[in-house]
Amino acid sequence: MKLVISEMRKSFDKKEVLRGASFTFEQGRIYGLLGRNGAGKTTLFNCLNEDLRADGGSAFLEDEGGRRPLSCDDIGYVLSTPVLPEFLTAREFLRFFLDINRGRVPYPKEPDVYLDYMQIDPEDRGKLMKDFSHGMKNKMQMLVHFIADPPVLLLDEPLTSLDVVMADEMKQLLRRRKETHITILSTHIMELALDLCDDIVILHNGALSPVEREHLDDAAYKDRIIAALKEEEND
Amino acid sequence: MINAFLISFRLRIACRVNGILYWLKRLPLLRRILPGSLYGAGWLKTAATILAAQWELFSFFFGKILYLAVFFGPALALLHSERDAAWGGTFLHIFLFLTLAGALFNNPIFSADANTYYTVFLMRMDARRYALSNYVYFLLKNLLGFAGVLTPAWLLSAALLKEPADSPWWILLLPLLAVACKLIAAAGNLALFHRRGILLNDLSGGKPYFALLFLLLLAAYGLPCLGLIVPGAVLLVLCCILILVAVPAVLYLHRSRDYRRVYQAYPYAAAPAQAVQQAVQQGYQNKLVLEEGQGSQHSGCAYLNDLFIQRHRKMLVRRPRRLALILCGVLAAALLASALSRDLAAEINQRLIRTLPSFLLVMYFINRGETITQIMFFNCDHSLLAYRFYRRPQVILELFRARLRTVISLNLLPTAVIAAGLPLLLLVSGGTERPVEYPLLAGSILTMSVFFSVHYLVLYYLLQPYTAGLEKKSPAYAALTGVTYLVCYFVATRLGSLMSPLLFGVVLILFCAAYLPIALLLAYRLAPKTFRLRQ
Repeated sequence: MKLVISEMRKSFDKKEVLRGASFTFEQGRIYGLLGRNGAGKTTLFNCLNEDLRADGGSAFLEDEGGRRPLSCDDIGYVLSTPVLPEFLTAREFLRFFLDINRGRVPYPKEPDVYLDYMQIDPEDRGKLMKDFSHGMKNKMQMLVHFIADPPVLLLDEPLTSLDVVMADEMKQLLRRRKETHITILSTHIMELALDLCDDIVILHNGALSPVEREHLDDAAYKDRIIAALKEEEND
Repeated sequence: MINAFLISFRLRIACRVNGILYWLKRLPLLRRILPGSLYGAGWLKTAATILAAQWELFSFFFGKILYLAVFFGPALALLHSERDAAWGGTFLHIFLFLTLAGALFNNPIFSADANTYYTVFLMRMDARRYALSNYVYFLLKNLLGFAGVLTPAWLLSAALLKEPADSPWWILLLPLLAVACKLIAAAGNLALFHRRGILLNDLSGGKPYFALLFLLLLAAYGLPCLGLIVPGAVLLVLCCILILVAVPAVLYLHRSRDYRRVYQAYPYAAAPAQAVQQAVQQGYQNKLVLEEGQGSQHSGCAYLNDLFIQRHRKMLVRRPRRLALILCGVLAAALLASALSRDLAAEINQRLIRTLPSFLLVMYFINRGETITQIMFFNCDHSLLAYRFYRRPQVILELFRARLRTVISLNLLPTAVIAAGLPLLLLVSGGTERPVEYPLLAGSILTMSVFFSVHYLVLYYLLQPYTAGLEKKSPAYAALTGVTYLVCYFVATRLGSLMSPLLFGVVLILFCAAYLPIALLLAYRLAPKTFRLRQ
């Protein structure tokens, strides 16, 4: 399976943020999307998730059966600041989620099974989510996307505000799932991108382009990425 | 100090111009015409600053004329049917108590807004200079405004009454009194903050603060009704004392170094506009109720909606209940009065059916559609709309249906009291020759309630006015809610009186019978596309 982005364009007033961005993301790989501040990473994610309407271009999934446009069920978008209905408890949120996704979630289980999987303390499961820490909220947000299991997962700065233990848990989870999914994460943290991602894609001047690793070690690869990002300034 | 004031003034105008431009650029046609570069146009900011300065000059006097016209004109006309010199004493009495109230409630030395945040925290202007320069400007405006308006007012009164109402010295003393009271209150507030860290304002003062305002207003208008006014000599002595006390107050305000701390303590000073909304959201979340036994037999969206109502009981259910109780009390009093006094019963009977159009305004104010949808957004949709599963058309429509039932039933509680109470009052006060008026009264009130419930929910789903940052940014929503009020006001006060109550009731019910299906159909067709988070 492949996620094909073709000639995607988006402008705000006269500022062209995406200028015909095209790229093919493949299943089984984690992509690190890097770009300078304001390069348009969040805009690209918002366009893919239909939070913003793109001015032009398209995005579709391609597999043995052919091509089909992205649908609501194909994308999971994990926000950098998790937002949850704070008036619900973790169990209630999952129950509501499972209710309205009946028939869509393969082999649905009881909410507690999922909460066990995410290592949410049993004592916290009956608390209102407004009292959850940032990390726990992040876990809950991630969990509903894992349960919905969309083929494409977009993560916007996913691990920056987590403590080291929780960040490590999340990394393990993403690695475990990567074989069957297309995972794209945007980040400013080079170390995270190098550690977790199989490929680095740069968004600069409104276009997507890969930074080939070839046989470079981490330090040399890092220099190449920074050089590619600096090209933007020199263009 | 003057420089500090000018910088903050220019910044305030620039923010205001940018705000207006931003608003204009959201309008469909202007969006394309106005270039983004306008934000950076220096000439526009200069022109706006000149215009704003002229407006400030104008408002010096216009504000005071309005103040005298609203707070003194009607009261003096009601209290003194004859033109005589006695009203001068009443004027001074009211002025004294309103000035004391103004010292507490219109004393913006510590009020912080987005401009304070930008100037003091982001641009690091000295907080004392910022506070004092703006405060001196505010006091000067008061001083000159009062002096400029009281002089012609005194001359006018002298011409009208053929003799001056009071000594012309008051023209000098009253503005000084107003300024002195504000200075004393400001210094007192600052001293309290310095010693105990408490900042008294209408936000933190709460009920005692408003009780004090009520007492001062009561003294201003209530005492003259009983023929009691503060004698001129006492007032003169009080004036002199307050003006003298203001001198050390000025010195204290000038010497204090607490201003930055004051702004930091102010609840909304920590960040610009969004912070206000976040504080509102936090307030909503603090009132959530989690209790044993809460739950729902339903599933899916109905389950979510049931839990939403249970957890927000304090905000959603308590107020309609209280309102229904108050309305029951008013109704019982009216029924009792009708039973005890035949004259009163006749009066009520005669007026009741004729006042039906004005109940449109009553129902407008009773209906909480706008508040309920705001709570829905802040505590539920704001977060869930970020998930695509929540934006599936069938989920949006299923939840819309559940919410429609909820909003109607929440508004129905006080509505039921009115809908049942009015026909009962009509019956007890002497009845009517046209029995159709009983069901018409009840039917009209119920229809109005359902109309407002549906109207606000449909507007919310079709125009979803809030952004992810919780700000309300939809000119169309603002315009339509404004038009809703204007139309209600016009119908209740003008159009309604042109028709017979019977015709009004029938037209109202027919209008709603046509409007409601159209509104619901629009919501069903369009909400799956329009119910989105604004970016």
